[in-house]
Amino acid sequence: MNGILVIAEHRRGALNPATLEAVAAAVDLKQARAQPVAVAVIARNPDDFLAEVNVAGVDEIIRVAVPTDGFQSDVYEAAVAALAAARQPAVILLAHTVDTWGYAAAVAVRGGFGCATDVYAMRYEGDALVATRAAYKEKLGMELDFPGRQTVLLTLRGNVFKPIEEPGNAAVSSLEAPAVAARTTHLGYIEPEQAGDVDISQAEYMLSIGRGVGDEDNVEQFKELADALGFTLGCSRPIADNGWLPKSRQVGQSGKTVVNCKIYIAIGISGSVQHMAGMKHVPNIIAINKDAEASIFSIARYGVVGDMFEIAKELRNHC
Amino acid sequence: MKILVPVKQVAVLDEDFELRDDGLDADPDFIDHESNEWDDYSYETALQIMEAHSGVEVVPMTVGPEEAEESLRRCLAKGGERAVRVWDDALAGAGPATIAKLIAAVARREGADMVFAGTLSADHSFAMTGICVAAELAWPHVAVVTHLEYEPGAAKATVQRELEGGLVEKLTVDCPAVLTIQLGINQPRYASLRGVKQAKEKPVDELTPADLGVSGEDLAASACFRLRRMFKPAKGQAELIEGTAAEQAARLATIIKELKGAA
Amino acid sequence: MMPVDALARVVANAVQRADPFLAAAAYAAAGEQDRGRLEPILLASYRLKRQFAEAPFAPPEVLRRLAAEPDRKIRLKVARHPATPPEVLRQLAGEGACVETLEAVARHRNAPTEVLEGMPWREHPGVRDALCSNPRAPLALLRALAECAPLAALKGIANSPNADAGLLARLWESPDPYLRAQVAAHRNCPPAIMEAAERDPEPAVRRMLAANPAASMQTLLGLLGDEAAEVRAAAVQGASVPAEELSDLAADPSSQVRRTEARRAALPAAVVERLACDPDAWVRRWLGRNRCVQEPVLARLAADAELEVRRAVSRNPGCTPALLDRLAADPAAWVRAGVALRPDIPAGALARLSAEEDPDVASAIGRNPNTAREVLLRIAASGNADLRRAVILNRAAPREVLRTLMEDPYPLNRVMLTEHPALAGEDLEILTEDPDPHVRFAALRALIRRGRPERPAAAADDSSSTTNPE
Repeated sequence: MNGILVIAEHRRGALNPATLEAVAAAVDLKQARAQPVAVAVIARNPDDFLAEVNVAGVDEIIRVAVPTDGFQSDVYEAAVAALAAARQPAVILLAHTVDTWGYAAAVAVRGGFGCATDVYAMRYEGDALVATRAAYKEKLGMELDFPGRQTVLLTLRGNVFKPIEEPGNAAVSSLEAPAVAARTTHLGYIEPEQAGDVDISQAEYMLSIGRGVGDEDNVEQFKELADALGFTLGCSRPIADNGWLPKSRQVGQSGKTVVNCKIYIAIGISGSVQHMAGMKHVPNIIAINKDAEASIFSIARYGVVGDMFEIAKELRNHC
Repeated sequence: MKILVPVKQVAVLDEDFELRDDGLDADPDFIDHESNEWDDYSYETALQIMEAHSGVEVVPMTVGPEEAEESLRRCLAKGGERAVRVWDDALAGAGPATIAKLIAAVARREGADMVFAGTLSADHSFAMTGICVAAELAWPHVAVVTHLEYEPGAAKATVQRELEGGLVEKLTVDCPAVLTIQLGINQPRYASLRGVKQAKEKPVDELTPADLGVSGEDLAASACFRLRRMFKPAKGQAELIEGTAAEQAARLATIIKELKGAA
Repeated sequence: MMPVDALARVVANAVQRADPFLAAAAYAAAGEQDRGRLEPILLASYRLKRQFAEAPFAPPEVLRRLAAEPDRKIRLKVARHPATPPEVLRQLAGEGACVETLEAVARHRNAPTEVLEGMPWREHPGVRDALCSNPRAPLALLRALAECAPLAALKGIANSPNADAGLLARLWESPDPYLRAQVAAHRNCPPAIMEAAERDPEPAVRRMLAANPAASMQTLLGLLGDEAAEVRAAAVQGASVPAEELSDLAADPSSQVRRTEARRAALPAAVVERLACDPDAWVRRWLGRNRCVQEPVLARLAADAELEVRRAVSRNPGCTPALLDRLAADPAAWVRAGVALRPDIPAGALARLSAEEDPDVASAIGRNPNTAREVLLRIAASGNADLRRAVILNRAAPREVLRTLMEDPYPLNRVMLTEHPALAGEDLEILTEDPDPHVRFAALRALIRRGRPERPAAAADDSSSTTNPE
């Protein structure tokens, strides 16, 4: 068993940039232990993506032509299994994405591979590959190895490995994909709704206020700030209970989960279990609270201890 | 027609946790347990199908020690007549592929027609178990399901799965199938007080791996990784923004701008 | 205290059921001997001690007991708990306290002054910095701290209500504009520094000065002509700005200035007229809420094309019954909900809105003290947990309506129900048997509170709620 195989990911004619991060991780690993890096492109027209994945350090690009355009779990599982059988790689690397959530573990189980997901670091200790990933919502890291496994399949966390920009000169080869009767059928895509003003479950940027706001008239100050920042205003339960904001703006248990949110500014919200249920998954949480011990800080990426009204007033001057 | 819903009692770490002496996990003194949030949604999905059609049975199951029975009772309080709990002390620390092997064995034993799992669990977040179950059963599968149209007994179900950037794919999947259910697919209910009382009387079948025909060797062979150690990561918790309100606001404005640029 | 036999029953029940949540509630009211019986349940495991030491609802008596635990991490959690009483903090900061505990006490708003004064801050920079940001730190301590505190901590001192003119004058010497801005914003800022701040090249300094409630009319007049809109906006809020200045500012090119002006109290009629026609909706929105705005301007704003302006009018205390009647027929539910929330809602409007199903309107009706009993019963039977909770939060809801909510499936609703004054003691006793531990705890706490003649109003004060999470 030798070599690293990266599976490229694409959708609707565009390469998922996370593929290039996986390629970069493979090239890193090649430095740690000399072995060839191959990138497989499974697509109706693999040639469409060849140039993009041909970066410095890649030794081989394998074209796997399949009859479907988009991701299809049975097709991908069969193709990766065939690639593994043909190339006998020691490591298979994929991006940790919605598509790989849908098939990577199945490939590993059926191939008898070692497997770990959402890996953010890899190294060799002697002959053993060691993968590091997080546990308990990032409070701990865990180190895994794969004794007795000839092949190890890993999915890699995004925004960790820096893509290689320098072009490469990989050899291009082809592999015939096995014919499979796919048991899922793609019907179409539904475009995301415009981040609506009212549907907070779709909003990307949220500014939410809690009990600390104190008074109904003060709510307006934060609504104005949210407007100026281009954020959607949300709230914790007591604000909606008081009738100060519509129920449709309530985040949390009995309210809504901010599924698509990328930045969440929590102002004057102490962080009850009920509220955090609706937003704790957001990658960038900014918490502003006067109480340094407020539980919201335990899930925040940025914490501001201070007077929420002063900070909001000042922040308004930067919009 | 039977829907099997595997659920998990997840561990939540206290802020001031310590590592266990063997370094393989957190000290149990600092671990609280709760039901996995995703499983509320998968169980609700199953209950709604049960309530909309006659002849549908929903069976919650878990692979976990006695304390994990609480998660099953919590499900039974909302609906369903019986549950299954699989355990053996040798399973402590078992990974997703091993757990999946046991879930698949229960699915066979129960003659399940569909399996609805949570997309991931809140503690270790491998997002693997459901798909591993599908691989064990050789069933079709769809992950991160945010919408489901399914008539019990139908040859296909129509599902939507949510992709990056809010894009949604609509597809059909042949049944029987394993679906991993995403948060937000529905509004999970709360159990009524009567339901909570009744759940105490409902049977929970307790099985060992051996009862399911899974040997110790099978279990060992199914582990797809070995845990070497756990450690406290170097990067701290929240970055604290200090200074006067004006200064904090100025820094926040920069951070927001940067995050928006990156997002 | 509650009657002795009732308390004994409560303790016996907690002990018999080995229920740590009932034990925690009973512990607060129990005597020495009963506490001895409750402690083995309350402190049965490390996990329980940890959970209570960080539970927002933990009673001070339980925190006091936990402060005596030998485990360092438990004591640290108690020191960080906002409800920890002063004497417990004094004890925690005593001999043998670890640095983290000292820091937590130094930051704590309940820490007694003499404990703050006695802290070993020269040895521990973390303790020093925590003291600098504690508003209870006395002037003498602040002076000593200012001698050696780093810049970040000096900003805490500049924000302290106890900083005097002399101390502020020293901090003003700093080259850091944010520190100087904080000094300019301080009520105790000496006049000479205010004068200098008015000409400071940093807009942040001038802006903070403009927001200083102690700034003189002269200073404000100067700042109203400032080139930076944010400085003018801050100055326009000053109470001493004369009327003729306000009318000029109503034509300020910056909407930020006009929006701020629309919020301020005591606007002359001509300014109100002008702002009411402002093209910026936020100006009209702020004006709609402004208590100094009256008919007929209010009526005009109530017909504004922007629904949030109409909503603002519906929340203005000066809104007349006639206007409320009109707004109760507004096409936007959010505007009607604003009317439905008012205790002074006209009877006709109340009757009409009582039939509505929109969740915001129905929730407001559920909370309204004038709502008819049958309507409350209907809302209490809703499938929507938020609507049922509106009835629970209605202080005028009668017991017979509340009793229908004792088996509300949403546990938080039952927790909040325990705080309703109309619920009878026997209802609360039933809730102490609830399957949810937080409901049992809250129910027993409420029972105990009622037994205390010296605090009869506790149940009626929403802010005293200890079990109420967000």
